[in-house]
Amino acid sequence: MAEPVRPLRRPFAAAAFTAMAAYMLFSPALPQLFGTGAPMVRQWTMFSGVGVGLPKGTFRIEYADGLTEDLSPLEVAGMTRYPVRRPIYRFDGYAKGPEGLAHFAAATCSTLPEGARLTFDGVLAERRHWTRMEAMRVCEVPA
Amino acid sequence: MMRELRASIEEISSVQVSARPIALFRIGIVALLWNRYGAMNGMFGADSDAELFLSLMFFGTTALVLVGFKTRLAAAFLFATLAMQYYVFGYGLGVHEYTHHHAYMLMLSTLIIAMGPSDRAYSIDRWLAIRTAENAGKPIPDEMGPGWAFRLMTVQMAALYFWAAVDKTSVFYLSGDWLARVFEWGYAGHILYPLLTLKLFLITASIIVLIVEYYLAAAVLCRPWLPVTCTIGIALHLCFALMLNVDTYSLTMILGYLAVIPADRIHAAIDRLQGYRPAGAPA
Repeated sequence: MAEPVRPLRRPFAAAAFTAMAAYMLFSPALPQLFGTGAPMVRQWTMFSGVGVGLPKGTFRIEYADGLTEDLSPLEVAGMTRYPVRRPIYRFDGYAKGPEGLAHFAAATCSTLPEGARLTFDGVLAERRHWTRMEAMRVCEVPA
Repeated sequence: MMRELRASIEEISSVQVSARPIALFRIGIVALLWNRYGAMNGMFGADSDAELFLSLMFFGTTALVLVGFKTRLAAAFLFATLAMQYYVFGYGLGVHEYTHHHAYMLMLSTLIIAMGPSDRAYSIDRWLAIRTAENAGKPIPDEMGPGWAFRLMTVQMAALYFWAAVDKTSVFYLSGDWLARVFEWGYAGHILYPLLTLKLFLITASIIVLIVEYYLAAAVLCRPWLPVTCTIGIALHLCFALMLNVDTYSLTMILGYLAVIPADRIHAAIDRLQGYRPAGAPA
C-alpha cells in the first residue's frame, strides 16, 4: 500500500518558495525562446546589446586632389575611447537606422572639405553577427 | 520524481538556519544600494514631489535596514521603493539606469531580505530581543530563522547563470565574435586592445565563460565541491567587474554566495573567528 502523503509542515512557506522558484527558473524562457516578455520578466542576456552598431575597419577620406587619409572608427567619431563609463549603454552615436554610418561619422562628415568623400571598408557589429560593409560615400544619407 | 521534489520543498520550507548569512547579505546590499543610487536619489537632485518622495523613502528605508531596526518591515518598504523606481521611473518615465539587470538583482535582494530572518543577527532588533529576554529572565533567543527565503537567492543565481549561458550557446559566441563586439566597445583605443582582441584569447575566454556558467547554474543549487564552486563563481565575477562596466552586478552576485554556503558553516566560521568554541569542543 502506498505511503500516505503527509501535509506540509509550513504550507505557506512551501507555496511561496515553489511559486517564486518556478517563476525565477522558467520565466526567462518567454523572452529568450518565444520573444515575448514584460519588465518583470528578465531575459538574463547580459551585454548582448553592448557594441551593437559599432563599425570595425578602415575609414578613408578621398580628397578632390586625389590624396587619401585613413582613419580608425574612433578617429572618425571624434573620440579617443567610446564612453564606457557610467551611464552604461548610453551612446547615441551607434551606426543604426537608415543613416547608419553617416550618423556614426557625423563629426568627420560635418568637416569634410568640398569635393572630398568618406569611404568605409570593414564590418559592422550586430546582435548575432558582424555584417560586412563597404560604403563608397558614407556621408551621403540614403533617402 | 514528484515525491523527491515534494520532499525537497518540504525540507527547504521547514528548515531553521542561522540568520547570520542573510544578515551579512542585508548589510552588504545596503552598501551596494548606496553606492549605486546614493547620488542619483539624493534630495539635492529631486526636481519633483515624486522624486523627493523617492529620495526620502530610499534613504529612510536603507538606513533602517542597515542598522536593523524594524528590519523586515523596512526591507518590505525598501523593496516597494525599488519596485517603484524600476517600474515607474525606469520603464514608465524612461530612466534607463533603473531598468538594468543589476537594478533588478538589487530589487530582488531586498525582497529576499524582507522575507527571511534578516533581523535576527547583527541588528538593533536582535539587541532589543536580547534585552527583552534578559529582563524577563528568559534565555537569549537563538540567531535562527526559516531558511527558505535565502535559498531563493541560489535559485535566482542558478536561473541567471543558466539563461545567460543559453543566450550564449551559439556559433557566434563560441567563435569569439560576441566577445569581440563587447571588447570593441570597452577597449578600442585602450592599451590592452591588441591583446584582448587576439582570436585565440577571444575563443578561449568565450568557451571558458560558457562552461563555467553552465557549471554554476547547477552547482549553486546542488552545492557540490563548495570551495571549488565558490572560488570559480567569485573569480568569474571579479573578472567581469575588472574587465567590464557591470556596475553592482558582480558584487551582488558575490554577496549571493553567502546563500550558496550552508548557513551553519558560516555561523561556525564566525564563531571561530571571534574565538568562540562550540559546547563540548576541547579548549
